Amino acid sequence: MTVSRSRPAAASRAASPVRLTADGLLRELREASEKIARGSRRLAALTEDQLAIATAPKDEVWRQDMVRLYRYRPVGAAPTGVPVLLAYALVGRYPMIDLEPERSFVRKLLAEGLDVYMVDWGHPTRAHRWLTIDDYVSGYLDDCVDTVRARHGVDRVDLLGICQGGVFTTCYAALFPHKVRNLVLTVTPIDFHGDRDRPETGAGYMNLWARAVTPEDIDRLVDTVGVAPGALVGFAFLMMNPVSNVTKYTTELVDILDDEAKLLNFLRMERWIADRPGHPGEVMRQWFKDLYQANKLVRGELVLGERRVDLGRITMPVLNVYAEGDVIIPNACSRGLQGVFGTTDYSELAVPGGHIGTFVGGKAQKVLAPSIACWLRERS
Amino acid sequence: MPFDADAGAARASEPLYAWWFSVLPRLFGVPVDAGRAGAGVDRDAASSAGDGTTAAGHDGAATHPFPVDLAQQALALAQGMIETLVGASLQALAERRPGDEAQALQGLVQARVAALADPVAALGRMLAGSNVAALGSALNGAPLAALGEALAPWSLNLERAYGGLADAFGLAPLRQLEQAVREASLAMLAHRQAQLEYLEVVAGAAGQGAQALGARLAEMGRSGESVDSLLALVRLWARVTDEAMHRAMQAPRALEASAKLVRAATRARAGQQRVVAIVSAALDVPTRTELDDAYREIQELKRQLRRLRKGPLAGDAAAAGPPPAQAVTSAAAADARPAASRDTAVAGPQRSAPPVPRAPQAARPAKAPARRRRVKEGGEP
Repeated sequence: MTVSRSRPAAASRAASPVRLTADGLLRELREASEKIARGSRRLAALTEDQLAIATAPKDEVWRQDMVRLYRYRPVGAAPTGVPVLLAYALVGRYPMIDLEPERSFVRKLLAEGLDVYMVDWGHPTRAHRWLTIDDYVSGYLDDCVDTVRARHGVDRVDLLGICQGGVFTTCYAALFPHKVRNLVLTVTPIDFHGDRDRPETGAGYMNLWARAVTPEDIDRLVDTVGVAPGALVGFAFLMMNPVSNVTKYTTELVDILDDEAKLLNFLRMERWIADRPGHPGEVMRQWFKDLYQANKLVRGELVLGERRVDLGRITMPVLNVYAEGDVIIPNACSRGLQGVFGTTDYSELAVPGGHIGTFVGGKAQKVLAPSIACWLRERS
Repeated sequence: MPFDADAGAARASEPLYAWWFSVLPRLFGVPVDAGRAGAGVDRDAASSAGDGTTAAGHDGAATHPFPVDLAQQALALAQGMIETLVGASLQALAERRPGDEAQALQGLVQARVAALADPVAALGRMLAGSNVAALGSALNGAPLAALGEALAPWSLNLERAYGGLADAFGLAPLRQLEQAVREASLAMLAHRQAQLEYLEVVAGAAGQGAQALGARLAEMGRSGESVDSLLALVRLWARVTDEAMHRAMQAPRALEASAKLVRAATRARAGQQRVVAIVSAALDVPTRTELDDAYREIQELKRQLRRLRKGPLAGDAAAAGPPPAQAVTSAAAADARPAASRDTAVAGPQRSAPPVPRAPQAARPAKAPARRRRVKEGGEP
């Protein structure tokens, strides 16, 4: 117990609550040093197998360019019902939803008896700088959906989008409604200006930043970087919480050294963070100009290819999952969307934790997969 | 997933880690060597971490699975940071200033943040102190704009006097290059200026964090709470500073500084690219623009191919059956049979749409629902 509550002492002491002594400081230094030495030895003994991420067994069933489609091997009895196709964002990679066996969103979906497919967008290179959102939606994603439909002989599949992947699946459901049975969105921004009327302290820095720069700034950024390097994207996320990132690599790391489970979780998370793909420039241009700046998606003004994305065409059931503590996608941008879509079957699910915690947090893990599976079963 | 399957990604992140681990020592005044191996850290384990090598197997330097070496490096920094803070706190105690441990922490961090800005600030001071008459006193207010104005007549006069002559001797690319270098240099100076302004904002935000820590400690003192651990004090500092920085960095001034930084950085990069393009063109090496044009054409051909394969308005098809199976790869095809019968059998009839609007309903988890789970129909909490 390092921060304690006690009876107020003399007035002179009440003004200085810091109670450090020379002996205490030296003891703390000695203990921390010993802990760091122990932790260092523990780290040195770790193996590749212990740090492996995305270990749920899966098979590649389709590929094009750098994009892969995987089918996860079912657990237990053969899955029943229509398969669910998961689409992650471009700014990170899918291992987040299968970070470690004990906290794997994918494994929990499989345990619920779902037949799970996953799009891996891969690592775009310079050759992919001209890829647009339409290329992802009407190209890769549509091919993935068609592949799943063909493999299972079904007309429609269930789609589950995550963050930016949720925007892609939303666009897909609007453009290809006859191929989507149910749409599940998780931590997905739809109303990119929702935070204007309902600002949340500490949340939505990206929204504010995107509106602080001009469309010409975005154009120049895209023109000069082509494919935004993964490190640049990572830096943007790092600077959203600069102080937390100081303590993350110092005091917080020291705190967990004696807890192997937490230490492994930390290292696996770092492994995921390091695997940051580049972001195709033209997608970035549309993402910031059309969505963050002009908010075209919710206004029904977004055009992909030569087609307008009309959210009114999303008449299939929609489950919208948002994270209560999401600071990357403010709740005001991702919830309260019942009038936005054409469906009469709209549900919202709030999960505890933050943007990433939705998929790896202990509390969220107990809620997310079971709720989604239940919701899908009710609509099968 | 073995991490070296995407070693390229790990390498892409190396600059980020290298930058961050260079900032941390400076922030806390930790000796540079601590980044390689700290007092309590396994030196063998950390031996490969100090030179920015972070990916397993990269150049054969790392001996542990990624990111163990990074964690070793972080621990070395943590050790150095704790030693530095303990030293500052012991000094405060020795000088009989109870309660100054927090001030020592604040002062340490603020001094380091200021130190981070020093290299850029020095550049600004250098420009401001220039003896070039044309820069004059205007430099103090807008040094780079003034510098540009001062140089403009030179450029114009040189162009008038010698431009045509140089062209006649086939030196046009050289003149273009000279002009491009000059513009790129100015853009890079403007970039430095924008960095300085942004760092000033960051330093100010950190200062607000220090003030917030003081206020929080005073509040704790009044309510009888105490902090009896240095690491607890660091955690408290981090929490209140994080909150203060969020507020400060979301303020209009900080956002404007950030936008200005992006503007300046991209202009500087564009200027550099133009210099390289001129040199490349002169040497008959494909330029960035030419390469990108080729990629653009390839992408457009891929789109045309896709439209031919799918039809131009595939999304508007009134009804769609299962697509042709040729989209399935050989790997899938090998698996696709059992599925053609089995999966079809289990898929069952599909409902095209809810026949009637559904009543509000909650998604029921199959297992016991968590206490905080909320499912809403209609979107209100």
